[in-house]
Amino acid sequence: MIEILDPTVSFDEGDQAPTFSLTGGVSGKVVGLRLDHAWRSYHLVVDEWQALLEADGAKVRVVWPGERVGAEGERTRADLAEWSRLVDCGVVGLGN
Amino acid sequence: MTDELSSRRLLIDDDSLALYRRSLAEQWGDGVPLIAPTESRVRELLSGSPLAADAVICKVAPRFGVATVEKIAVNAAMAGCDPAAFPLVIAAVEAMGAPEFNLFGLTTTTSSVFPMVIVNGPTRSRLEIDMASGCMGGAAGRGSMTIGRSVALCLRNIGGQSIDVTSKSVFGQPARTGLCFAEWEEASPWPSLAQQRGFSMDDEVVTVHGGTGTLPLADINNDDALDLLYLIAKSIAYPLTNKFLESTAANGQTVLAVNPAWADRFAAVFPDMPDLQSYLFEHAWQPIEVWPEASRRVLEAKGRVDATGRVWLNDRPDQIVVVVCGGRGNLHAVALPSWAESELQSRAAFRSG
Repeated sequence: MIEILDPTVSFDEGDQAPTFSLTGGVSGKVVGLRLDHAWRSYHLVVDEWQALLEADGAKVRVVWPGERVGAEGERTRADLAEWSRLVDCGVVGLGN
Repeated sequence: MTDELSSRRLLIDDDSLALYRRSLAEQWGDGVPLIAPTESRVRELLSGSPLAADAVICKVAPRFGVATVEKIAVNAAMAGCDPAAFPLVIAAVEAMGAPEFNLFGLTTTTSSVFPMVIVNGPTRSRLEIDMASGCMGGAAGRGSMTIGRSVALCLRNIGGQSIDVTSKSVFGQPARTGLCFAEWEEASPWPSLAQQRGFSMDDEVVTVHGGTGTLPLADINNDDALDLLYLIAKSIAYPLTNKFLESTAANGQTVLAVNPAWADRFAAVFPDMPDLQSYLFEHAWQPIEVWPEASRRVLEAKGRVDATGRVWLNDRPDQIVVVVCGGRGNLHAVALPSWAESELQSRAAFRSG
């Protein structure tokens, strides 16, 4: 037998927000929708999602992030940080 | 600083096939046989860096694992990295951690994009980093093959990049097991890439580029420098490049690798690199009529079509980054197209002593 060093790391799950529990529903919650100009599918669903969430009593906060790098990059990161601070839970992707 | 290595120890049979099988079973390999990262091998790598084993270089996306020098060394050991090349691996990991490189997006996207490593500086030959014939694959220099692979293993094992788990890349690309080459500075008529980016010729510099693949460019019909550059510019502005998917042309770089013979030919017309870049920039566009009607509407809505009906690849000449490498066989260039949401990053490497 030989001894080797483990090449992997433990991922710091503390950096991630806990999954929002839907127990009790979204009524009275601020639900964020983080959309993306690059994906046309967002344009198709955002109005439907917003209407459905509001019908269930949620307040919806939509953010359309700008470019990730370049002149807009820093502003985009700041916008997303602020949006994350303001919402109780959020949809951040379509899982495509 | 500590002398102790903190990585968990694993016991395996003293057999290269056993290591390989375990790497596949536990998914910390890249599908290619590995070198056993024993403590002695890891310590040998660490001796090449002035940094302590527990020094933190950055957090690596997409899962933001902490890249200590030790953990980078364990992965570099598995890749077969020469201790003398280890500082370049550290520099590459550091460069990828820059916010403007957008490593999270790059490692999770559906695109094939992956960090490609370009090396400048005085140790290129000694470290067997390929810069002449076959430098993007096939030349088999230890430096090229193991530096790129070390970086790729760090992304997998420290960053947590994993196909169909964190990465949604539809195809991936061969460079995802590592792509590293050097600029053939001695064969270049222009200042090196590192010099263009503010470093000196004596610095060992690593540049990482989010490249979507290797796009071969060839011509045997025309010897004229301006004609060739015109055709190169039109070729890198191909309609389905990621650069045309974004709402701005201002982000990302296309790396253009030019063989030494073509470089001499181009330099006879453009002895100054900014002039060469300007010429390429001026021709790197397509008329909106190239795209079908449905695509035209989207490009227009994104503001990508100018008043004359041109869709520009870039906003600025410096977004076409020219490096000289490849064999003296003439006729060929290679473009490393931009993913368009990542900015080229360069870092100097630092050695012990």
